[in-house]
Amino acid sequence: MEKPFSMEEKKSRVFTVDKVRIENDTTHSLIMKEPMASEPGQFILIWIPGLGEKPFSVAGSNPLMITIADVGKVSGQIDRYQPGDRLWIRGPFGQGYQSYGKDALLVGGGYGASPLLYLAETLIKKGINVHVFLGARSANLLILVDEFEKMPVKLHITTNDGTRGIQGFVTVPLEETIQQLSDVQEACVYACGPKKMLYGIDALCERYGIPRQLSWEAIMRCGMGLCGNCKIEMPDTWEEPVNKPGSKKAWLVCKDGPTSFTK
Amino acid sequence: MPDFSCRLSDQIHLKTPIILASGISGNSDSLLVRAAKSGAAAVTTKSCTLKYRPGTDNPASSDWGCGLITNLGLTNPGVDSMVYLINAYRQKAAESVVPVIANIYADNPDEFAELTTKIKLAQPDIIEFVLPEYDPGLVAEITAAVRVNAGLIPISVKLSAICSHIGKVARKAQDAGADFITAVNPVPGMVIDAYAAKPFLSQGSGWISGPSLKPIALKCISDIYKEVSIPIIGMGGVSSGLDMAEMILAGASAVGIGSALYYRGYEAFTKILVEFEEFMNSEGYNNLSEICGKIWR
Repeated sequence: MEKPFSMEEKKSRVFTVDKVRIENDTTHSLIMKEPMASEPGQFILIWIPGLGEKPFSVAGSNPLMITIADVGKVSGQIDRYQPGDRLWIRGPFGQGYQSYGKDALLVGGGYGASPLLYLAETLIKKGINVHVFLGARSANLLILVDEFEKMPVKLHITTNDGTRGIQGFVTVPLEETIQQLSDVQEACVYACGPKKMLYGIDALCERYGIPRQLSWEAIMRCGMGLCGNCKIEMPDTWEEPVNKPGSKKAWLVCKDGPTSFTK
Repeated sequence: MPDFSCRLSDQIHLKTPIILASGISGNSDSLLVRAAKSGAAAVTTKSCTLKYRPGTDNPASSDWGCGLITNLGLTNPGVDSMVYLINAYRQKAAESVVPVIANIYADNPDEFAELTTKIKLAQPDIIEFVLPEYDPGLVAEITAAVRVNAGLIPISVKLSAICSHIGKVARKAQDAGADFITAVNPVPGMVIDAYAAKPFLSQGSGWISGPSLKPIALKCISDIYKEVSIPIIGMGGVSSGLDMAEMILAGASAVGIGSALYYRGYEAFTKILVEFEEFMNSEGYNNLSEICGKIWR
């Protein structure tokens, strides 16, 4: 019988900040000196010794990049980090996005856009046609706009208050683009953002029969699939895999996810 | 195919010997349902206390290479909500329902008596209790308090590997009315990050589980097996079918898994059973009683 797992260490490792890039009033990206082999959509846990540990999406792997919104005590501390500062990171964890089809529609709500730049780069390298939809409540909450503008992608921006791009929800230009697709079966929507937005996008995709990969957020504790804190209920449209009975009503964001697949 | 039916007592018959141990996913009715649908022959709730406990800050756990360390701080919704949760589990599991073991924790015999009376409202199939310390007199006193208040519900004392003379303590618990012994609870430990010059967990220390706990658990179980005549629910680092065989050979009648869900996901239940069956077939065993405690025969 084979050993069911390898005993390699999965403890936190020290990373050093190389560059800091400001994204907006509350969000910035840290570019590390070191790489971390990972896929877009996977997450890492950043530990500030003596303060706490928190999950973040991988925003780039070589070198490792993380986009951080200043929304809590750990993020608030990281907000003050400068080149040369050290932080402790373990991971990557979870299921990332998988490249699929010919057209990719990437949707980011607020700082949910953080893994999408890395995803866009990966998809473009594979020759996939990329559309990006960034939505936020207001212009100052949009992130990565300048970075996406430099890329060969079709960029759509919406804000609820109309301070930038189209006024309204991100699902409006998304639906228009879906309607213009020649073959929805050869396209895929990749989304990351608040749960409510993901449910909305899922329902829209279901109407048009378009495959989607949704990356879910949750409050994580153990990050190892044991404590159950990050458990969520999947949308009705999601088909429970045969080898994961009971997972539809108790899907673990840290272990089953963070990315779900619906075709 | 070998006979895997596991008869713990006249009341408790399990389809197989594999159980979801306490502490894993046991604060959620829908995750207990998932464990039952994934092949657990019984599920155990997270330790519950009289009042809600919020738990510790992150980091609360880590894979340090040869096992896990966790300290979630007895996070639980309190006994009243746990009663509701057990009922919700039964309702949602419907035809997939398997016996539920309610795990409780208190600081003294009086609190244990109150907690047992309250958890009894959910009519769990077994009440399992975790002791605050292992003084033989106190173990007997707490066991008696739980026994008196549990009525007809069987009770199991959960012992930790840090309990010295564990066999003798188990014997005390049996004499005080325990129906089963659950062994073992993880052992205390600490993981330090040298570069940070700090312990990794927010609470400083935690409990060591996973592969590194297994040899310790096997020794404890065999010590208990020699001393008691009641069944042992063995656990501690079981993640493969062979691990399970070893634990039964040491004297366990049923086997709990926890960290295996980290290493192998919820599929761990079926994978471990398939491997265990492979072992039983290759060695020509027909049922569990043939191998239970066989190292001593």
